Amino acid sequence: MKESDIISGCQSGEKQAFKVLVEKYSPMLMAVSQRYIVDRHLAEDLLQEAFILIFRNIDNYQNGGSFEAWLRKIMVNTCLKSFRNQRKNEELKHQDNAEIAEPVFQEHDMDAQKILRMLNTLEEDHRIILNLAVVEGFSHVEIADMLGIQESTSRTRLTRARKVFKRLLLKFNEITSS
Amino acid sequence: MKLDPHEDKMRNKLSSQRINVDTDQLWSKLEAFVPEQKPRRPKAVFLLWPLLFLSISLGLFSPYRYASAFSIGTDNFQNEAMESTMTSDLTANVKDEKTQTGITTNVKNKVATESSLQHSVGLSQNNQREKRSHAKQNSTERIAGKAENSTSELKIQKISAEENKEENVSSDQGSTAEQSRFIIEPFDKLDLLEMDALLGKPYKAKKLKRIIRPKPKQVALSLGISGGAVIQQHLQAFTTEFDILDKQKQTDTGRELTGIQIGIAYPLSNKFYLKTGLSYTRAATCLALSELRYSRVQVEGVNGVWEDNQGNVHQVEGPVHATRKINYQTSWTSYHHMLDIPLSVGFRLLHYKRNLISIEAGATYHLMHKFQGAVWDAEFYLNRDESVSDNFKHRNFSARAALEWEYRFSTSYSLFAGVQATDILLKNEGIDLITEKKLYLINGILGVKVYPGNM
Repeated sequence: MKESDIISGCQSGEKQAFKVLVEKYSPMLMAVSQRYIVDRHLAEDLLQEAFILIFRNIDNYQNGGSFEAWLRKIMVNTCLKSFRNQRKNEELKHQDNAEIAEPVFQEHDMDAQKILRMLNTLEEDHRIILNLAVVEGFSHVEIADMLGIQESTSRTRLTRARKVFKRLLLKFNEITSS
Repeated sequence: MKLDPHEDKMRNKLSSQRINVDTDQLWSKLEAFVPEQKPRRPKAVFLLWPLLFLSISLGLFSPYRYASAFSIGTDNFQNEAMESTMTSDLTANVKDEKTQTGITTNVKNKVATESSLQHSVGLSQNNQREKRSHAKQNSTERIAGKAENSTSELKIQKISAEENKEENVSSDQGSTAEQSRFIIEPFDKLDLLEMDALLGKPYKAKKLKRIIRPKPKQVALSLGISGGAVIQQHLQAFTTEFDILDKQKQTDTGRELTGIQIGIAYPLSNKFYLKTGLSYTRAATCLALSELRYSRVQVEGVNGVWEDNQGNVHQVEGPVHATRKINYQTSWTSYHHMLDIPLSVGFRLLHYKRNLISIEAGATYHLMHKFQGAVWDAEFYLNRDESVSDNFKHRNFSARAALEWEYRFSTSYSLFAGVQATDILLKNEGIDLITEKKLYLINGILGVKVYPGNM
């Protein structure tokens, strides 16, 4: 089923189209979710939540932009919303006890697995900003808007996160080379 | 933002990363949240139901016409007579009104009319006619004598007088259509009593009540036009729940509407009527939509020429990081074509000879609603630093696109209320042709015709 068929099918409420949508895009969205959320179960829950929002808002999608980008953005926002809620409730601030992700990667994606593991070792703030700035390609203006922080804070946070990640990468290379 | 090589690699790897999920399990959880399937748009089917309604109405009307012409007698006689009164010539009514000086005169006139009609028709059973004529004359005299004093007295007296004559009524089967024309007054109690007197049929209170409730009598075909403008300055800035559209400003600058309706009215009672039909409305909406969105993108495989603000041209080779500025700063005029099926209940406020003013309220089913129009443009700017920049514009990459949206058909419902003036063009032709001037009140806007919902 073509992307346009899936969209039009969903917009007219065809159940089969929704199913295809889930089947086709859940691996991509799960990867997005997993980049932000270390706990796999929580990542899955957020994936489910994102799909519910996609179902409800698919009528609002207009064909002007990329559908995948639209889905990604919903997923990212769902993850960020989850972070905000966590912080508000001051619960799960430390994910020490959280189950470390054991994602089922596709074979050709072993490098991505390593990168993801490294990302998961970063602090939450660093992980988020690296994801938003480096992976998603959002500008500081956008990141500041999404996270509700100052643009300068976004820059500072990204600089720190990059340094930490670089250090981590060097350490990782040392280990692997030795 | 300049990415280090390892970051670039990371970005590429993670962007293309896919993590398998148990989609069956996920779907089993999500299935319950799938929105209900929207009903198919039954275009042709819904076009048929006004026609169906029309045919049913005409179907009901036609037997009545024949029945009123050929059947008189028994209990239905008065009903038929009353019904035919509604469709009978009002000229006679007016003439009668002119000659009436009071209730007594009125009754006498009618008796006289009745008598003359009886003569012209010539009933087959002479003895019965004599009996009936005699009885009617007696009752009329009684009524005429007492009507000036009290209607209730009249009724009581009439009923008692008529009890003796019930048997005569059943023999009126041979009457002709002309007999149905002799009662020409509106249906107040007195008239009913007069009818009793004339027809020799007593009414009990219940029957009286039943008969006062008029039966559906006549359908009216209506034609209407509407037109006008609704000026609406409407500035709306909103962000979707997930910032999908970023910031969007929408200015709705105005609408103009023209429309035409064809409908059929079906009387429910003397005051109320039910109306349906088909309405076509064309609306033009001037809409300015403004969306400005910046995002960081990597433009790959482009040996591009970039021009700075001073007009200096720079040659850039290989992939570059750029700011994409998408500007939906557009304005367009959407044309809405709406085909509606309104179903309304009307109430007559004032009724003149050939004009009436009524209020209407009901629901409208928007059978079709189509619109078009959208324009957007996107520009790419070379980034010199990490900030969003529009110093260097890509010369060849500026894209502008005008999207002519396909006409989209959608259906919706809305409620409406309005006041209308109706001119009756034809009268007593079976179907009245009327024209309507409508003033609709929807969503607090007193306009000519405004629909909420999709617009």
